Amino acid sequence: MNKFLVSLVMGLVLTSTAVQAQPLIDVVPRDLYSDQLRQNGNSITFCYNPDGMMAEFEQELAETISSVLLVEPVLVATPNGRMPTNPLDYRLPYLPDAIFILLAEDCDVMMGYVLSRSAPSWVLITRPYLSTGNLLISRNPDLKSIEDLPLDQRIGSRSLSVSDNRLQSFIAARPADKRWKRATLYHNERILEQLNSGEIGAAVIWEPALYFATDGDPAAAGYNILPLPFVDRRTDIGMATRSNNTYLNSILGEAIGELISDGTLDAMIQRYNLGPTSLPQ
Amino acid sequence: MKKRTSILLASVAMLGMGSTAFAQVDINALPAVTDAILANPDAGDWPSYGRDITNYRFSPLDQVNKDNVGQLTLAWARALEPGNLQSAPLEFGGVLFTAAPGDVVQAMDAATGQLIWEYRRQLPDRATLNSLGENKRGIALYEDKIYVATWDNFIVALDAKTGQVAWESDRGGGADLISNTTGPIVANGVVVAGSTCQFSEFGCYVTGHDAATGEELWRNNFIPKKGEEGDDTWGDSTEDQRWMTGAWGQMTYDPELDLVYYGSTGAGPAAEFQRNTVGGTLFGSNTRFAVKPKTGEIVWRHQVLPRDNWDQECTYEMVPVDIDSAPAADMEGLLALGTAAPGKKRVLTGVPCKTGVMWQFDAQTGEFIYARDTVQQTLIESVDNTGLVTVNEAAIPTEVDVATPMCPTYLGGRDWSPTAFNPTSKVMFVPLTNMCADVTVLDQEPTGLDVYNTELTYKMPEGVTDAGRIDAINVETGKTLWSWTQQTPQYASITATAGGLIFTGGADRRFKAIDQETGELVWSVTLGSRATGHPISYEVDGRQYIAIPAGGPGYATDLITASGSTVDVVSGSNMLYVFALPEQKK
Repeated sequence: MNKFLVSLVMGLVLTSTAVQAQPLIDVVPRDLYSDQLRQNGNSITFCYNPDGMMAEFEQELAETISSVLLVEPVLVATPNGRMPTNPLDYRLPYLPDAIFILLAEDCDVMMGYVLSRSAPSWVLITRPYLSTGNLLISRNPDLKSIEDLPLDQRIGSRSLSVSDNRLQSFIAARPADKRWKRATLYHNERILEQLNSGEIGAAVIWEPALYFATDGDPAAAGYNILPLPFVDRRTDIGMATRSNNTYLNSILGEAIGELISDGTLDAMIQRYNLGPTSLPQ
Repeated sequence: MKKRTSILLASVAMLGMGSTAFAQVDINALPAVTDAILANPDAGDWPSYGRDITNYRFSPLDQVNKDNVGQLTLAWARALEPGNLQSAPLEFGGVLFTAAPGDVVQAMDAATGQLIWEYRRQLPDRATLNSLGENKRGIALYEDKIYVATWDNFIVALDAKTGQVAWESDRGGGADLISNTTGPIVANGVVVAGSTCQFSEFGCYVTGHDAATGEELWRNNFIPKKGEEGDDTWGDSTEDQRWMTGAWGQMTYDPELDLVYYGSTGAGPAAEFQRNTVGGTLFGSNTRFAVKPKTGEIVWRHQVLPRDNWDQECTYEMVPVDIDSAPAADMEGLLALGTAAPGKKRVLTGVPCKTGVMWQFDAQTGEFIYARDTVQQTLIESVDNTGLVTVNEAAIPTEVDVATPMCPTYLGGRDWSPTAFNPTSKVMFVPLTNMCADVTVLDQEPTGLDVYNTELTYKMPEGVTDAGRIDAINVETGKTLWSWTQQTPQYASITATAGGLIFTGGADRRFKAIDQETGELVWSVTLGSRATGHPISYEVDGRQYIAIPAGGPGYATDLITASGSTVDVVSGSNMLYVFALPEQKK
């Protein structure tokens, strides 16, 4: 562990210099933020969305990673007082320019960032600490597969999600008279609401959302998990740092790797009901 | 962020108070701005967003002309509030009013830049607001008040002489990311303002408020609800799955017909298969409306782009013009001619969408007259003689992770920066970007808020080397008189003057004058940062001034890279620059 500490201190010093020298990217007008030098000594500032369903998990993860790295965690809640956080979802309630300012001014690390190729060039994302899938569910216990769902009932999904893309392709590939209609809803809580009310007959939902909402027991809550009729695509979630802070990003990734190896991360994921298959492989 | 804002607020407030004593113009002598003044301002004034309420962006001043424009020199400059600057100043009676990012409105001496008063709205943290609302373009002046559509979605009336709040009206939804970018107009005593719902889980609207009291008189929504007209044009989506359609572009009022003209935007997400509206024409979206300002009654409407899959936002200004209509069958890029008889008539004309297509309608009835392309455009397959559009199926994305070519791009064709129109020559000057893209619908989930879920790889059209372009089009014939081009995208507003010039800025920091007759560049100066604001021209004590706010950033960075331009783009350091000919020695 000591090599982590020595390397971290050196890395933070080096990256502080780099921040000053690096040309700034034209994301937010330069006069609207101050690039903070990282002079906090033996500490890392982790920012998290306190209104997100993963907030408690993320705080414990930040503390655990800090103990691995032998640094002091500084946990900073970055609530968005006016912009609602979608319930049972991972999406952050910030527009990109707000995340840019947070990383420039307040945060060494932003928790809960999805690995994707559309991530802006000014962020670098660590290896994932969650790798999440999707489930097909219904409240009808008689359904054994999607084929049992009457065609006049809609299938819900969260708009813009990878599972909605797959559901759309799956339905479009069926004969015209064998297609259900989708209900592309704004967030996962609305999916559960519409399942409960009978407005939709089945839904594809993010696995952590279902397990978190049901305290880890979907069956007890009356949700019937059916075979997913298409190949799932997983969503990986890690931590974002500024792209010029490669050293910090690297050691965070290594710490996550250690927590995966020794079983710590899996235990945390299960304790916070984030899904039985959400440990990155 | 909050701490710094407080310090800034305190310091600027002191500056404002301290400056009052040095102002030269007597703001207390400012006359009331009547409907007649808005319809036909004095030659030396610029009291509306487009100078006159019909939005021509044409100044009758001719002291600065193509023979002496090379002598223009900086008369004064003044720093403006930091942020995304796209301001459209006003000038009336020797007082210049301007709005800047952060909902800061200032009145200053138009001849010196000396501050007279300042209004600084107390806003929530910027992280909680729709970032687009920071682009405080226009404000409106009427009677004795300045009207502002605020970042947090209020309509605020300020005393034009003091900057004190006269009334404010909460339109609601500021916390749900509803905002306004281009500002209100005042039409027949009613403050008419659109709204943007780009990041909201519902659609937007246009409102009308009584200018004297702030009472909301009417509200027109765009997206049909269950059972309403057009409900069946939104594909398989249910009412709660229809988002984004709003009207954030500049509106126009025609006092002769007592009609306000505005246009709506597309829907989100960008691709129809993701938003669950496959094949649907999206009634209410990308539609031009003519409404009565007192009641909001829709007199006519015309959808200029159904089934939008490309964020083409048909919300930009169109202007009412008296012409001798003679649309030419050989006009460049002709899509369709209507069946309207030629001859003298009042038409509504302009380039309302990012497609860059110029449209023309009978201003009173909405009868279609013609539509023609400007830049390369692949989204519209055809237009029939009633103006009915059929889109190009090949340009519609149908699955994730597959690139679909499109021209123009999400940034237009044209975008928010307005055209100018010379009522004498009947020529419209249109700022354009000739650029294409391969658009890919992403098979991944965005982390933060996003509405498009697409990725664009920008590219130049085949055989085109210059992305930046201004077209001069005779609106009577529809024919292009000239195209001025440059490698660097323009992305800047235009103003025309009776001196035979148009003035425009640009992402390249150059503030330029172009000869209206020939399209030749006759003058330019390099400013400190991007020339992103709206140029205006006005006169004080016999001296003509040309003003332009500059700063940024704009949105055009991706375009500049793809254009191959290596121009030195500088953002920030917002500033209002004012030019004039050298003062005559007395």
